[in-house]
Amino acid sequence: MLFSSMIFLWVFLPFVIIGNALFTWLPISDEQRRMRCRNLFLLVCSLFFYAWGGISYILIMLGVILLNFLGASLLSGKKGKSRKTLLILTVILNLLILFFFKYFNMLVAMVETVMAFRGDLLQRRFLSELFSLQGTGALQIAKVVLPIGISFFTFQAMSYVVDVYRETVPPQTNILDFALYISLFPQLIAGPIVQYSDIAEALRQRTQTREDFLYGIKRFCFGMGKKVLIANTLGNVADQIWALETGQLGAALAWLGMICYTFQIYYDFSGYSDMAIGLGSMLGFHWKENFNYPYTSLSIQEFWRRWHISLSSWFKNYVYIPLGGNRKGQARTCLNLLVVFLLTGIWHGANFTFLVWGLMYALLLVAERLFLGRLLQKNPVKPLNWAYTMFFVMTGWVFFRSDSLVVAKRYLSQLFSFGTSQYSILSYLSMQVLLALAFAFLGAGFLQRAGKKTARIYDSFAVQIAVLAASILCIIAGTYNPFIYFQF
Amino acid sequence: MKKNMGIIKIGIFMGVLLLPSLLWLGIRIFSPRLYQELDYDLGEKTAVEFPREFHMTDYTRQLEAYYNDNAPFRSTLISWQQKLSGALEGIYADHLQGRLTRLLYGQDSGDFLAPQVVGNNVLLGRQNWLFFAGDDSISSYRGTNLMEQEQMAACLDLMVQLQKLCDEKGIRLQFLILPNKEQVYSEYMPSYVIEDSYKRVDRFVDYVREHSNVSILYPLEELRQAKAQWQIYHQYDTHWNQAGAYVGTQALYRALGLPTTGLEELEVGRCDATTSDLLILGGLDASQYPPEQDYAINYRPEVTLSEVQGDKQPTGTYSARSDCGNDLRFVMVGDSFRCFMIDYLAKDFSHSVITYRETSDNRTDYAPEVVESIQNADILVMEAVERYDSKLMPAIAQVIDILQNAERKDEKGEAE
Repeated sequence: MLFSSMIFLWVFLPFVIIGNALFTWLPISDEQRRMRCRNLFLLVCSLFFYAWGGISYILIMLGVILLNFLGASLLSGKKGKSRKTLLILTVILNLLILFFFKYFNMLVAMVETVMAFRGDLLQRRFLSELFSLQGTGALQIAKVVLPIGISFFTFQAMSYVVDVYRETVPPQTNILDFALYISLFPQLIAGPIVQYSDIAEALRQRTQTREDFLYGIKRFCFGMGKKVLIANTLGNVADQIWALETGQLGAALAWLGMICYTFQIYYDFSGYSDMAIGLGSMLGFHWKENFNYPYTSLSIQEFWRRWHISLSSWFKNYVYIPLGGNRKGQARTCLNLLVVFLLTGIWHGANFTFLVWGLMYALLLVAERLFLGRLLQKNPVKPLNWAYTMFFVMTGWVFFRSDSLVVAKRYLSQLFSFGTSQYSILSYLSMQVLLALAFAFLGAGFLQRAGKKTARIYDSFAVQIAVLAASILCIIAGTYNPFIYFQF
Repeated sequence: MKKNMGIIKIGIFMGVLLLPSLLWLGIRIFSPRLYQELDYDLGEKTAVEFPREFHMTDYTRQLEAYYNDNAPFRSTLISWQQKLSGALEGIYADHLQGRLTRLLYGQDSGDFLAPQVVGNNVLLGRQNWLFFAGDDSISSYRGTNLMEQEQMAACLDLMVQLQKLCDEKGIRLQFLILPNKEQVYSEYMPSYVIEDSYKRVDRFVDYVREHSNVSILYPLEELRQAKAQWQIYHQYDTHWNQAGAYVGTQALYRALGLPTTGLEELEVGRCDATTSDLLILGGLDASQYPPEQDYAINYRPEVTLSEVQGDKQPTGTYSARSDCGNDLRFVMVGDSFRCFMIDYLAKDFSHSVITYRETSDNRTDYAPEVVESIQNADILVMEAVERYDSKLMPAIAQVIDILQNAERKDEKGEAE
């Protein structure tokens, strides 16, 4: 179920809010029992929410819950080598599940391509075929369907097992509470990746104030507006441009497509995170921010401190620091960065484009660590730093959005082409697109930093409700399915 | 006070989430008349049915589609959204588009019309003319969707195969591709859409003529000439009107070597246009557009039709007999454009069957009587409008199957 759907807004959400309130106000004297009731109610709702996207997927999530709950419970009672073995086993099993659902199709396509070019791997076409990941279908293996949110909930589950191993958190003794941690619907599908230590106390005991609820409304309404009014509008333009013949785009249209996608991905993802944080707040959970105006960054290092913070923190805590972090000299630090960002790239999807995206950031971060960072710091013209950062961030999004490296390469070459194009930029502009672009630019952090006046707009309840109402109008209009009789 | 304000705000938020459903339920129970007024038909496809059978993979999706289709105040809210969106785009068209055009092209906006697409792919043209921008229409116009040589060869192979089968059976075969509206009325298109002079269908028709004896007709020139005297496409609809259909029918007769009659020789009156699919598709307020008229052509009143079956609906089959006396069995397989030709075709052949193209991709078979008509036809016309020219090939493949099956049956009968 999507947050930006009518069934969520008008059926599921009011049901959960009212149900949660009823359980909170139930005349039960035993506070522990009340919490158990509230958690159980939220668990059932969350499982229903997940099952809505595909009933069979629920089994995969229940499997992940069981595996990690048992893994952590078993290792917590052990000492020495067997404790480590259990940890490794649980992590490997998690990774195998993730690998199978996320990367198996990619592997099959690669094997099929290698088989097709057997004996002649030096052919020029081999690499482009390999990178396109189309496969040949020779192995006749059915495609594995990716369960929604699997990357998020497996990472959450692994963080719990590792934390229990490190003894930074006690193991959860109640499997239902643990299941709620993994499946809690606001953060289930698109994060933020909540670490167990951040939620353990709230699972045991949480209070819910009116201020929390009002804060939740604010975050939810603006999150919805970011997703529906800005990201969807600009995403529509980006999709149209990306659907054109890439080699014929021309510079103006290529830049428009790249800018629209740059805003789309930020407003889509951060909008979703805002809604998750808002819903959490309405239900008594307080989660850390996932974005902190990343498009105002003045270096790549700063960008990654502000973009998808929960993922960066996860990789920092569970990969970068265990590898030695920056404690083992410059060369090792650079290597660690490379590993972390290659993994970050792969985590985002099964395509070489994500790998190159991660590699690009790794190289930039290494460069900033070695020399570029100092240059950026000394540079008195800070807008130049911003331009440098945004140029690479936007270039990265081209890799991220493209179906293959070949398409990405063609798209990037169009950005600097000076020939005429058969497409006109005017075809893709409208009032709604211009407004979305204006709000997207201003709302990326520049308006928020402008002063108290904008803060007042942000706090205005009337504005929040207007944004929600406008979003509902757009969502319901999206269900309009006119009778297109000329298609017959 | 602050505490009360907090409660009021929470109440308003919950009201936005809950009130529409509660009010809708109340109206449905207590005021069925108001309910019917509010739940008006938006001109959509058939309503989504409640899923009665449970499937693991698809059930929730079907349930959500049903809910969306029946969401509280849906028609009203969609109309509001379209009005709001129309108002915003109106501001854009009046105040911004011209400036942007001058900035980008250095041309006077009075002469240069930039595009404005509304609703579901409806392109606002000059002088209130509407065009369809989906389904490759614009690419066909710009000439950006050309067919590869291999693609054209594969299509021609199928056409030749059907031609051979028809020759064996003594059926006169004609392929007919009808021009999209924007090809005929390009003067009403926004200027940014740069028209190509040698496009997908032009090239394909030339290819077919160069490489085979197959008869293919693309009556663009005939229609362009006729528009000087008659309006031949609807202003607010993707289709041609009665005059266009008449001109197209006469072009078809010329290609088939049949006698023709000019439209100017007939008694032609005016009537209200009955279709305006682009207004519906664009979510446009019909009251803002001057009503459109069509032609009422009094064609061969002396000919009487009998055994009329079916109707002139896009996906239906129409058949009739006439006392025109030429003893020809005419079959046309095509899309919605054929519906406008029925009034003329039905009177010009002793027996006519005009049917919607079934293709293997929609997995529907022709009714047995249509199959029989195809097998026993004297004239077979395979028609497709330009934007659906790709659908002509699966339709041809299916007709090939029908004729081959008939051949097999004949051989089997002879062997027995």
